Amino acid sequence: MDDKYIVDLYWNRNQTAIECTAEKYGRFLHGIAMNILGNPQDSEECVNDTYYKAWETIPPTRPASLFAYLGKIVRNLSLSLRRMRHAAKRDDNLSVAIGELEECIPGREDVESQMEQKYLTEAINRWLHSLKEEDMSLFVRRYWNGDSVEEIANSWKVRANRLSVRLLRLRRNLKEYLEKEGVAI
Amino acid sequence: MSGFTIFDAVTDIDDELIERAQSYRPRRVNRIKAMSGVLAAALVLMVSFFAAQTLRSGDQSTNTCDQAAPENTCDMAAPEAGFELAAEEKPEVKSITDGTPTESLIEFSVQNGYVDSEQKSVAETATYTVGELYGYVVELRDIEMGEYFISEYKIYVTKDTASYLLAQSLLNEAQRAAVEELVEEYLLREGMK
Repeated sequence: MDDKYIVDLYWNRNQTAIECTAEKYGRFLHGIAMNILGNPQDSEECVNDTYYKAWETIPPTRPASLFAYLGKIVRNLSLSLRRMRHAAKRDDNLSVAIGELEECIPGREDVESQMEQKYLTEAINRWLHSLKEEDMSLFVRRYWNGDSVEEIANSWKVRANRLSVRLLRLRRNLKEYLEKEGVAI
Repeated sequence: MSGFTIFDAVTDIDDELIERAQSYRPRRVNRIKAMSGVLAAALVLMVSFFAAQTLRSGDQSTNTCDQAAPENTCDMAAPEAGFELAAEEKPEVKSITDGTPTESLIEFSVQNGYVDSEQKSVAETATYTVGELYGYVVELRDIEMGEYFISEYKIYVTKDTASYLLAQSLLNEAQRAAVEELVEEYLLREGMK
């Protein structure tokens, strides 16, 4: 079942589009939501909302990568729900990941204007494109997917401490890059 | 405060990056090929060492025979192939951390030939690569075949130049680059650079 087939189902307003999406991407979407929310009920809610949002937005959108498109929706929904439900800092995997990334912009926990937000995302994109494949994949798996270091190490069959050292280096590198780009203060 | 953080900014990275990251798996070096390389290189090393030693022994024995020397000096046999180096032939290896000379790593690999585990022999080899590039050597432990990383940090300085040939032939560019990066990381963390 390729993405084009599924996207065509959405465009033809064929409700099997949702079933096909769930069959192909449900597990990944649940994984991303669980990494952010940590509980199955909230994750289920966000994944269902993701299917609904996909139905609402395709058409007019015709995403080139359905996985990335859906992943971004579920990520945004999950982060919003997490903010609503958990105001205080927690000790879970995602809080650790957020804390790690926030080191890259010390003193700036949030970004106010939409322009700055856009610029920050573009800078991160440019930086990611400049990395070696393994480093880029490690960063995306850790900070986009929200996978723990142990999960990534298991799937790559490497030692976790090696990846931790590499992530430390990557975050330093990102921080220097953002400073050079005038994003970090 | 908008609540938008760098973590949110990562959400909107390029789709292409997201797709590539999901399917990426590190390349694993074929174990048999890697071991063949190790054995071949160990052989090169042994040959070059004993060739050098034979030349030196030849010079000494010539001088000795010209002098009033004990009979057996000129008849001294070449060292048994493979595993013995005279004390003065051992390259000096010194630890950066405390200045104490440590056992020569090249002696270790020559004395043992194919050492007690394939992982260890690869560790010695990778050690030499870094040594020649930076003038020091990082001892590697707990490595996996085809993957080099440091889990125990010990820095040595080697003056041995023959190991460079060994190292060159064994590690590919990506592996050398990986080890170099890890060494850099270690030095920065330890404030040595």
